[in-house]
Order: sequence, then C-alpha cells, then structure tokens
Amino acid sequence: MRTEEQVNLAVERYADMIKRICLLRLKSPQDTDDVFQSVFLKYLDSTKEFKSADQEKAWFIRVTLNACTDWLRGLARRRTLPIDAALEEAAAPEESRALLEAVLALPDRYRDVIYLHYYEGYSAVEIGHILGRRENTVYTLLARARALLRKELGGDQL
Amino acid sequence: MNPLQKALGGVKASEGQKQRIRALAAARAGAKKKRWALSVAACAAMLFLALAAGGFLYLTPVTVIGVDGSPSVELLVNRFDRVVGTKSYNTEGQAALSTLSLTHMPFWEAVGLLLEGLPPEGGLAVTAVSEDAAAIQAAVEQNPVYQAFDGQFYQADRGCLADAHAQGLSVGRYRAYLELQQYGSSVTIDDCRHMTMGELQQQVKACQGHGKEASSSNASSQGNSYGHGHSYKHRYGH
Repeated sequence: MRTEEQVNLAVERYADMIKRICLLRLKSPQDTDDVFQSVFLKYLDSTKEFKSADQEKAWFIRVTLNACTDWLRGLARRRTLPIDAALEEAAAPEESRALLEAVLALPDRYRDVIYLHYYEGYSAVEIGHILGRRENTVYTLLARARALLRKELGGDQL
Repeated sequence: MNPLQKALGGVKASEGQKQRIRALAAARAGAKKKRWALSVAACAAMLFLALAAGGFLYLTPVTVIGVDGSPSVELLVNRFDRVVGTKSYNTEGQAALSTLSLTHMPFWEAVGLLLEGLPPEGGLAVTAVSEDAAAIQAAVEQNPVYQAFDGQFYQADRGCLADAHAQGLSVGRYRAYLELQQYGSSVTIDDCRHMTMGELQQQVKACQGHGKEASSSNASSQGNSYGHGHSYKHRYGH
C-alpha cells in the first residue's frame, strides 16, 4: 500500500493528465470524477514498484484508460454521450474548439493514440508499450486518426 | 504548444478533486496506523501476559524442602526445581542464609551448600512437602555433601507443614516431634525448638530402643491420625 506522501506526489504529477484522459474518453465531467478517484484508489492499494517516473506515468495512463473502458462497458452507461459537456469542461479557446470536437468524436482507439502522441508526446513505440499494441498497429491507428481528422477539419490541423 | 495541447491545456483536475484523493490517502494512512497500533498493543499485551504467566509459574513455590541440621531452614522450590524462597527457623539457619545466596539455584545444589561445613554428627533430616518426594530424594542423594551425612529423608504433607508453621517450627522438627509423641515421649514443642536435630533423632532412637515403639498397627493408625506425614525413608528400622 502506498504512503500518504506517495499519493500526494502522484496527485500533483498526474491528476491533470488523468482528468484529460477521462474527459476525452468519457466525455462527461460527472463520470470523470468517479473514474478519477478509482484510478488513485488503485494506485493507493497497488504494491507495484516503479523503476522510474516514466514507468509510473505509463502505469497511470494504462490504468486510466482501462478504468474508462470498464466504466463505459457498464450496461447502464452504454449510451451516446453528448460532447457538449466535455467541450464546456475543457474550456478550450475558440479556435481550438473544432479540433477538440473532432478529437472527441473519434473512436476510442484513435482518440487514445492521438492524445498520447500529440498531447503527451509519446512516440509510436512508447504508445505501443503503454497500450500493449504493436508499433505498426500504433502507426496505422495514428494514420487513420489523422485521416479522419483531416476529413472532418479539412487540412492538417495537428 | 501544438493545437491539441492548446485545446486541452485548460483541462485540469480541480482542487476539490485533488483534495478528495489526499483526504482518502490520509484516512487510509490513519487506518493503517491505527491497525498497526492495535497490532502492537495486542502483541504487547500477549507478551505481557506470557511474561506474567511465566513469572507467576516461576515464582510460585510448589514444593517445600525442610533442611534440619543445626540450622533449620526451609527451601521454597518452584515447578522448575529452582529455589525461589528461603526461610530460617533458628539463629543458625538465619546465619547460614545470610551468607548464602540460594535463590534460583537447583534445590539439590542449595541443600549441598547449606550442609557444607556442618558437622556430620549434628544430625540431619531432609523433609519434602511434595507429591513427588522420591524424585526429590533421588536428586538430593546425588549431592556428595549430603552423602557424607547419615541423613534421613522424610515426606510430609501440607497439613503437617501448616501445623509446623503455626507452632513456629520447621517442618522437619515438627515431624520429629510428632514421631516422639507417637512413642509417648514427654518432649514438648518448646523442647524441640531448642534441641539440635541430632538430639531429637537420638530421642527418637532412644524411644525405639526402649521398646516404646508403638505396635505396627498402632503406629500406622497414629501415623494416620497425626495425619501430617509419614517417613518416606525411615532408617531407624534398619
């Protein structure tokens, strides 16, 4: 079990990132709260030792994505989520709203790689490690995601 | 900053969300500390109980061994055969105990130390107030100092011990007094207090020699009537 100090440090380091992933995946600020808390609960109870901060960050990303997937898998929550609330929560600048809206409209598998590559700055190899996918698969997902965004937004917005 | 970073840059965990996690961690840590403290307290209590029980068992005497030569001393012995207390019944006994440290010593060694330097002709009676007098006798007889004495070994019961103490006598002397009474001797309790053990034993011997010995059936019934003890190893008849 983690110490209070370790959890507080993790909150400082990863809370914003987890919130972003939750919002992109769940598109609902209300649901974000629950998953956000469950991710830190999992960290609190985990005994996994991390060799580096990078490894720890990758663990948080993986756990958050899985927690979001589990949340969405819930039968009661299987519904089409409006993205307005997520857009409002993101409070994105006007010129970025279209991009954010397009990203939020992407299928989950594309949205994840786009976020990890463009926001967190991970390479395809690193994303492959985090998501447990082959590098080539990540390249393919990125290419398809970009194509969808281009089609939606016209031109290369990223 | 690329366009996506710009678009999502405003998404931040609220202070309320962070605070809830911090509070959760603090509560868990508090509960863990509490559990730890309870565990420590439980272990300490068990250790204390074990020590208290061990101490009680160690310090509780279960056997009394009277050593009556010129000094009259009783050794209080625990279930581990260690001396946990001593009591003297005359000035010689007092003097002997003031120079010897017998506590925590195996009783057979303590008996040997008490007998060291005593004249063998002064008489000696070792009286065990125990259910297992045979084992005590065997252990005492292993001591070479005891072997130099023509000592007599007796067993007595707790009733005899209590009566002896009520009269201010050691159990060994009181047992000799009861034996003399059995022969109809005129020796009194007070006489027993001041006579040496050798003198008491000579009185018993004299009674036996003058045919004052009670018939075996009488001796048996009288022995039971004073009821406090019987000779475990009585050498007079030999």
